[in-house]
Amino acid sequence: MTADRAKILGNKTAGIILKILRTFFIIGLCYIFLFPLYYFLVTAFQDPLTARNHVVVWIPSHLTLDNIRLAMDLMNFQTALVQTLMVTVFTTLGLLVSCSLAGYGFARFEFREKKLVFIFVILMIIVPPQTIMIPSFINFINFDFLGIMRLTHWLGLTENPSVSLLRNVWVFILPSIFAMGIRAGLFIFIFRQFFTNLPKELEEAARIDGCGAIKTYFRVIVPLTGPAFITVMLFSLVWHWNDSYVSGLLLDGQTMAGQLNRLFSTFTANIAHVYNMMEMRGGLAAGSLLMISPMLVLYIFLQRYFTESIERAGIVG
Amino acid sequence: MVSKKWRLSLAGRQAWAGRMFLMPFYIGFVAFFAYPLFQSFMLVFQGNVMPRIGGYDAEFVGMANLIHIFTVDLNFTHNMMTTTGQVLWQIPVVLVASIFIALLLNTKFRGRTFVRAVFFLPVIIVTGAVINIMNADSTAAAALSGDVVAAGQIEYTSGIEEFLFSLGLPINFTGRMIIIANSMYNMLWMTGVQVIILLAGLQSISPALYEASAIEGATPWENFFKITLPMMMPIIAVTTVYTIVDSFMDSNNTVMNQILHNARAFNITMAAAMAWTYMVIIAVVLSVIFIMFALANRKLN
Repeated sequence: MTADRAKILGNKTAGIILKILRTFFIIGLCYIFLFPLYYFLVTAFQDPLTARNHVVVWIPSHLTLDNIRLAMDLMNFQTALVQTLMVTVFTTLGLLVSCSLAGYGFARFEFREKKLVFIFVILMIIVPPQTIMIPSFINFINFDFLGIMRLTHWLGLTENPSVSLLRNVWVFILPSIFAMGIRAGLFIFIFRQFFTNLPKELEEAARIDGCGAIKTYFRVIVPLTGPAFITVMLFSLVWHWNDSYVSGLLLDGQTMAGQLNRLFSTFTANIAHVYNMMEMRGGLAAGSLLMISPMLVLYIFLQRYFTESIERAGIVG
Repeated sequence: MVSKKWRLSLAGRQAWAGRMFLMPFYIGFVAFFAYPLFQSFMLVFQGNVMPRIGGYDAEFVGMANLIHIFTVDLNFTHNMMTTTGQVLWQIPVVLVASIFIALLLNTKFRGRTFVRAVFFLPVIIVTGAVINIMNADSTAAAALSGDVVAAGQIEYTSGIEEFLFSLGLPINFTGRMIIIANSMYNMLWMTGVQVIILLAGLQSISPALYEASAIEGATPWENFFKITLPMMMPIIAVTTVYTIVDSFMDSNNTVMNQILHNARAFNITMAAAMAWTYMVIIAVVLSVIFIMFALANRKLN
């Protein structure tokens, strides 16, 4: 009797200790993920002159927009923003259409080469982007898509037999229409998982009602898989927005991420003789804030759908 | 008669409908993946690249590029060794941290929605540039306030280091532990996507299994090792592959930077040789991991 009671009591204490430990870990980890944001926010709007003051730590005393202005100036902000927005938005649209079509093809149809082609998709996830990027870089200088430009030139429809796409947003948009781009293989994979999990009866019902494959896809499947589209959209927007590697070569780094890298090296190269330490801290924080705030706003609006789609366990299946 | 000859069976029509859905992918795969991949492989053995309409011309030079990057280039071998070493010890740390966070998020507590939203933040924010700035800045702040800063990194752990030394542990081991402890902050920022995948996996485990084990009187510890871990094995494998690919392709690592610099300076063939050498290493690491998981699976079943 007493032994049982002791056991129950012991379990209770263990439970409480575990709860305390868990809370401790959660708060600690939240601090790690939230503090940089808070720090960027404070430092970006703080007067560089007061930053040296040790009394001013958590709450800035003199607010200013100087840091933001300096960062915008050095980052060539307008061009970078327009360029990055074009790349991010149009590439994501292209990938959503093409990758979902491919994912549906893999999930619902049987054909001889399916297994082989799916290995290609896995290959797309594993092969590092730089191997593809290097020859693409030369190909885009005098670009001719499958000989179409040469054909139209020969027919007298276009003036040049090729077009230079380098430093043009089309280097991202054109491949995205054909389901290629940053981590496109992963997107096809995610769509395939979602579509495979859908009940087949819906499509059978649609077919009996006289819907063709394409009509079924647009009328029945797409409206049902909103979470999949939102998940892929968020991933694609974020990864294209944050990419500095592929765009570093193909767009000459004229994107937000590329310019932020450039801002970092500008400051570190000119520290002491052009900018002082405090200006550098303010400028870098302002630059980071400019870079992350659009995605952060988007995330705040979309995170509900995002976590919901994970709840439904669609990704892993 | 003619129309009958052209009419396909139901299976045949299904097959062509599937191919139609995959048509953009087929075109894209050939034009923007398979062909460039073939080209970049050829570039490893080529020199004198000259752009022309619709492509480029190049000469065959044999092994010259590979010999150059391994014997003449002073940085490449060193960069590759350090990067590979770093990634290899990063993988287990990131994995264990992600599993820990995923298990934490899978329990029920107040404010879970908010905490989840916070823990997915790394997915949104993490970019080489921002991480660089965060590191540089915390280092600068630490230097200003008089903390120990060595080789551009803050030594949070000089106390622990002294303690481990005093225990008489081998210096190699202590040094490695200290490096891991110091880079824990960066590692945690690399867990975003992994946590999402693992959490989705945890939620797909049927609750009936846990109910059955509760009736049998299993402890949470037994639950974890007898139910959660075996059920999660395939998902942990996926996460491992993702972590490997992701850490090897981190835009902050020195090999990736060297390849980018060479390509931008139009040293195309050198860049291709480096990229392919690097890819071979990634492939070797991936296949070792594959074999390990296959063996573990066989043991579990």
